[in-house]
Amino acid sequence: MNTREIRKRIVSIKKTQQITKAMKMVAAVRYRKAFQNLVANRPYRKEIENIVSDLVSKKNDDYENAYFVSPKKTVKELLILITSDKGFCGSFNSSLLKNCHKRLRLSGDNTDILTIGKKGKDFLSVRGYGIVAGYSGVMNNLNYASVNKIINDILTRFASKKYKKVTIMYNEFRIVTQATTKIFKLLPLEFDQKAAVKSEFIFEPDLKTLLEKLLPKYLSVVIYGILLESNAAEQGLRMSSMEQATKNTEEMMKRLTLQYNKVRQGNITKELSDLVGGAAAVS
Amino acid sequence: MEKTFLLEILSPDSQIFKGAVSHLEGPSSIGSFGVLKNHAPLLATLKKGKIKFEYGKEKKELKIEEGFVEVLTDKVRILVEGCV
Repeated sequence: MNTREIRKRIVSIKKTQQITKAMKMVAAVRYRKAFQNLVANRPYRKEIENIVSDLVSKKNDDYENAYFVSPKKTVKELLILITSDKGFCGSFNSSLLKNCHKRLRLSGDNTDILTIGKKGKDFLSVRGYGIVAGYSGVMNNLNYASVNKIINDILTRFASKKYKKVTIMYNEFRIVTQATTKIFKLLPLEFDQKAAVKSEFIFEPDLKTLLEKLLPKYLSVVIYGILLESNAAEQGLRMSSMEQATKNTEEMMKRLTLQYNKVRQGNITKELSDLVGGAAAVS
Repeated sequence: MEKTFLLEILSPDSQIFKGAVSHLEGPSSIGSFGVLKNHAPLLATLKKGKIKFEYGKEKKELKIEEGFVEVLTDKVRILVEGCV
């Protein structure tokens, strides 16, 4: 390579670096917001979970609710796959999709898939899996009201008794540098049977009506919490992978600058020795 | 004697209010209810409507979507879908 080629490469890498730097900063802002949303959601989720599990432990044995029963006539499973819409987020999608693919190869015929996020839909539809519904653009403006439609869709699908169970596959939010696939059994509902702990409540209107109203809300908030978690994990991974990319460009630039200087020095030495050799020949 | 109790209003997106209040009124699904300190434990559904409470000397009003209220001996938690 001559000096001009090397210089061209340095300039182009510098441009790439500017892009990855900007993406990292955007991701950092989004990550902070996603994390805040996740934290803000926790008290509500925890509280409604407490109330529901308390009520469930108090319910009579003959109480029946469709959310607790898994239909007997079917073997089908509804799998909800939560990925991102966009790339550049390290192993966020790839490791999740790998795990999902593995799972589907075993039980693909009995699984209907609902995807949230464009990446998952693209990946699975190319491989010929049946996707019953695909949502995208959910994470752009994630709030409780905006995901209502999706949650209702999921709950109606289970209510139609076509599915034995509903499972969610998503990336758990643990640390920002690593994607951890989590498989969560959403329906039918299962609670650890525990002894009733709280003092006796007065129920208004009554326990049955309360449970009927609370359960869908509880499920919504669980799904919403998972979406928040996936979003935080996505932005965190994007931030760290863009930081890594920026570091890589820096390293490449260092290497290329060194090479450039070497070639340049070589050229100078060559020209000088030519000059000296020429002068010696003349005199 | 102190006549206040802790009121916490939570929604899926945020904590709307937290503080010591002295009186709370809200629309439960079978009629409006009022809570003072040392109310018996109660769990009730809330209709869309207004909740009122006294925070210090201030009287506050909040319009809420559907939700639930949980009254414990020294604490009241209101869980709502959202508030306007």
